Amino acid sequence: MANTAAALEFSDHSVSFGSRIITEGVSLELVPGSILALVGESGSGKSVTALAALGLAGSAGQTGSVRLTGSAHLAGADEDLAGADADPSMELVGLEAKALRRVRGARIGVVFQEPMGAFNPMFRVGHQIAEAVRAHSASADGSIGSQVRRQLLKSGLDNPDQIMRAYPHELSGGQLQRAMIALATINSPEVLFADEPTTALDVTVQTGILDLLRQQATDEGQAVLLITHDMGVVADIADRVAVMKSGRIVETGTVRDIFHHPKSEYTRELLDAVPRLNAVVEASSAEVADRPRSTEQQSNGSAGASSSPAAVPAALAAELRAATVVHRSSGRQVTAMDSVDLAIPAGSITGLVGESGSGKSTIANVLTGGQRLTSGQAFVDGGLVSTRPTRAQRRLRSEIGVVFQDPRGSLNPRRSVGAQIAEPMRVHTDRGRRDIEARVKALLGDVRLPENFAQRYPHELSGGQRQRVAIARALALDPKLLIADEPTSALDVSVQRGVLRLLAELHEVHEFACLFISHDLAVIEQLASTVVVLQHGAIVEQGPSSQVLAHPSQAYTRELIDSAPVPDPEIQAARRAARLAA
Amino acid sequence: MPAVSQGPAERAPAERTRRDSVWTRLRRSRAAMTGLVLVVVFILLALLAPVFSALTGNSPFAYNPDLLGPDTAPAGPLGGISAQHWFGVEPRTGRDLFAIVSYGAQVSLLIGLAATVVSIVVGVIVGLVAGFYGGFADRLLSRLTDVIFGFPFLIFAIALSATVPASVPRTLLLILVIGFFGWPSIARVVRSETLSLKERGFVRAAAAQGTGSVRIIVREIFPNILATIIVFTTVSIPGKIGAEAALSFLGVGVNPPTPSWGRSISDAISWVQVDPMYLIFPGMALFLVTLGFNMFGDGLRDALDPAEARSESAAAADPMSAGGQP
Repeated sequence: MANTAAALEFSDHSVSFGSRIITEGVSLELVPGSILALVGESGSGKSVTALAALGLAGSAGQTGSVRLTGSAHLAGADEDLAGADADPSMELVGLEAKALRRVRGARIGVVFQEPMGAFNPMFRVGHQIAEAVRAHSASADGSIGSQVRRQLLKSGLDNPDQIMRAYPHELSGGQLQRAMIALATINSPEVLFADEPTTALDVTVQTGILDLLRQQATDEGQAVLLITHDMGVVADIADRVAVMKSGRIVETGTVRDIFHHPKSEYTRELLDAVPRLNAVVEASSAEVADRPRSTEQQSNGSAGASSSPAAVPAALAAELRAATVVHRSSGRQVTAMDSVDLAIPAGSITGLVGESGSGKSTIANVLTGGQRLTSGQAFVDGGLVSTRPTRAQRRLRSEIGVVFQDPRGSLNPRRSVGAQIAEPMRVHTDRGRRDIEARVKALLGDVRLPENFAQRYPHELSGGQRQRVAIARALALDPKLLIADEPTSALDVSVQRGVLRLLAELHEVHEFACLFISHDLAVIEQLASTVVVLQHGAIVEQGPSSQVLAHPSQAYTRELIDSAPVPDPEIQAARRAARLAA
Repeated sequence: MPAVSQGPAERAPAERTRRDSVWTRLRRSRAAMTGLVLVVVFILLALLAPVFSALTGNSPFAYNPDLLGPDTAPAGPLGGISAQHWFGVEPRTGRDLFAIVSYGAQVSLLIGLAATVVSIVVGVIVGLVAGFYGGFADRLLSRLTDVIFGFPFLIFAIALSATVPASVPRTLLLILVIGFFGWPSIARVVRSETLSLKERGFVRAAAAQGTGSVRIIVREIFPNILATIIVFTTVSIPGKIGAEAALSFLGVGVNPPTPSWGRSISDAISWVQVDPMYLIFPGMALFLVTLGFNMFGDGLRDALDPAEARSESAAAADPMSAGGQP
C-alpha cells in the first residue's frame, strides 16, 4: 500500500488553545482502504487532532496542514459523490466554516464514542440519517428513504424499516452505533473518523462494530482513522498504527511492527501495561502455530497470586444464598439478580465478570447493604446483611471495604485525604488521635503514597492516586472482605497496571478476601483465583479462573473470551478469519 | 524502579489552597467588592445608629414642629437638609430623617437576616432529610415544600397580623412569617444536590463501611453543599428585606413609631410632589442594601463556581432564580 496515495494527509499539524499547546507536529497519512489507528492515553491529544481538522474543537488554533487529496477511488463513487465536480483536493486548515461544513459528512464522516449521546433523542433515527443526505445534496425525499434503507442494511441492520421508525432510546447501543456508522458513511465519504467507537459498548457487541469498520475500509475503500486507547482493538482491525504521547507522534508503523518490534520506549511501556488474557493467548497461539493444544500448563500469574483456596477448607468471607433482586417500576418487573448462589472464601480473590446490566454491581450493592434482596439471604463474615442495620449489623460492616470505579467520585472533595482514611476508624474504633494518625501514615505507605498526602485534598491528586487513597480507606479497618467495583476501568492502562499490582501485593500481605468486579477478562485473570461469569443477573459459570478462562464450559463464557480483543495482530487475524468463515 | 511505583501518568496537579483562591477571585470582581462595601456600610449604619443619634442629638422619635412650614412640609430646600439634619426631616412631624433611616436599617437588617437564618435552617434540614432518606420522607416533605411554595404569602401575612394579639412582638412575628415562607426554594436545591451526592462513591463507601446516616449527612454531604448554601443565603437576604418593607408598606409590618423603611416609603408617597426627598432617602436605602447583597452574592457564586465546575458537577439549581422570593 506504500504506493497508494493518501486520501487525507496531516503534515506538521499542531493544535493549541490560546497559549496552551495541545498537539505539535503531527503527521499522519490516511490511505484509502486501510485503517490507521491513533493510540495513546487520555489527554494525549488523539481526539483533538481529528476534531480540530474538522473545525469541531471549539476555539482551537491550528498550524500546519491537513490536506484532502481527492485521490481516493471509491467503489461506486461515480453515482454517490454528489459534489465531485468541485476541486477534489483541498486544504482544511484555515478553511472557512462554510466550506468546512461541506466537507464534514460528505467527504469526511465521523463516528463518536457514545452512540446514545450522538443521536438526538427527540427525532426518529431514520429522519436523522436522512438529514445527513439532505445537508449535502438535493435529492428527492422518496429516494432518500430508500437510500437510508440500503445504507442501514449495509451496516448490518437487518430490519432497516423498524430501525428508521425507532427513536434512539428504543435501540440498543450496538444498533445505534451501526446506525451512526450508516449515518457517517451514507454520503460515501473518502475518509471516516471513528473516535473510540466501541469504548462504550460491551465486548460481544464490539466485535460486530469492528467488523463493520473493517468492512468500510476493505470493501468501500474508505480511509479510516480509528482513535482508541485499546490495544486489543488496534491489533484486531488496524493496518497501521500511530502512537501519540503528550501531543506528539512518537512512533508510526505497520500494526505488526508496532506490536512485535516497537521502536520507542513509550510504545513498549504502553504494550507492556496492557493486561493480556494468557489463557487465550496461549491457546490461540498454539492454534496459530498449528501446534497441538497445550492445556493445563498455563495460569502462572493467577495461581501464584492466590493462596490455593482448595487446600485449606477456608471460612467464607461472604455468601449469597438464592439471592434475588427484582426491581419494579411502573408495572414492569426487571430481575437484576436471579437466585444467585455465591460463596467467597476468606482470603481469596473472586472475579466477577459480565457485561453491563448483568448484575455485577447489584451483587456489590447487596453485600454492602445498599440494596435490599427481594428474596434469599446475604452474609458477610457469617453475619446477615441488612439494608436497615441494627447496631451489631452496622459494626459488621467494618469487615467490608469498598473501592468504586469513578476516581473522581470516590473521595469527598471537601475533606483532606488523611481525614477520609481516618473516618472508618473514627466510626468503628475508639483509638486516640495520635494512634489514628500513625495508622493513616502506615496505610498511605501501604498504598505507596508519601505520608504528606494526608494533608492534601482530592483535587490535588491524579486519578490513580485517588484510587490508591480509596484503597487505603477501604483497608483502614483490616476488613475481611474488599469489594472492588471496576476500580481501574476509568484509568489509563499504565496507571491501571500499578493499581492492580498494588491490590495483588496488598492481598498477599493482608490476606483479605476480595470480590473483584470487572468487565475485562484479562484483568480478572491477572488477579482472581476464582471467576464467576454473570449474564442477565444469573450465574452462567463459576470455577477456578485458569479453568474457566482456558476451557469454558458455557457458550456465553466462550463468546465473552472470544470477543475480548487480544493485543496481538496474528491471533486477531486468525480469529477474524475464523469468525468470518463461520 | 520498585515493583509498585506510580506510573508517569500519576502526576498530581499543582497544589493550591482553595480558600485563598476564592478570596482572590472575589477581590478581582469589582461588582462583588462594591456589593460588599455597600453591605458593610449599611451594617455599620445600623449598628452605629445610636451613636449618630447621640452625636447629633436627633432621636427618631423626637418631634420638631418648629422645622416645618405652614403646610407641615419641611421648611427649607430639599426637605430641610441642614448640618443638623443630614437627610432633612419628616413632613408633618419634623422627625430627623437620617435617624429614621439609620434606625430603620436596624429593623430591616435584623428582620432580613433573622428571617433568612430561619428559612435556611428549615430549608437545609428539609432538603437533606428528603434527599438523603428518600421514599416516604421525601414524598411527604416534597409535597409540603410545594404547598408552602405555592402559598399566597402576602394574604396570609396580612391576615395573620390582623389576628395575632398585639402582645406578640411584631419583629419576632415578622421574622417567623417571612422566614417560614422562604425555605422551599433552598429546600429544593439542597434536596437535588443531596440526591446526586448520595450516589457518589465516597458516600456509598461510607455507608458500606458502616457509617451512620447522621454522620454521613454531617460529614460527607453537608460540606459539599455548604458553598451552595452560603451563596443562596447571600442572595436571599435582599428578598427578605424587601418582604419586610412590603409588609410595612402595607401597614402590617412593625408597629409605629418604630422606624421602618417600608412604612416611610408608604407615607412618603402622598408627599412626593411637595417633598420628594422624603421618598428618596428611605427608597435609596432599600435599593442600595438590596443591590449590595445581590452583587456580593453574585460575585461570591462566581468566585466559588469555577472550582466547583472543575472538581464536581455544577450546582444543581441556580440560586439567583429564587432571589426575589421572600
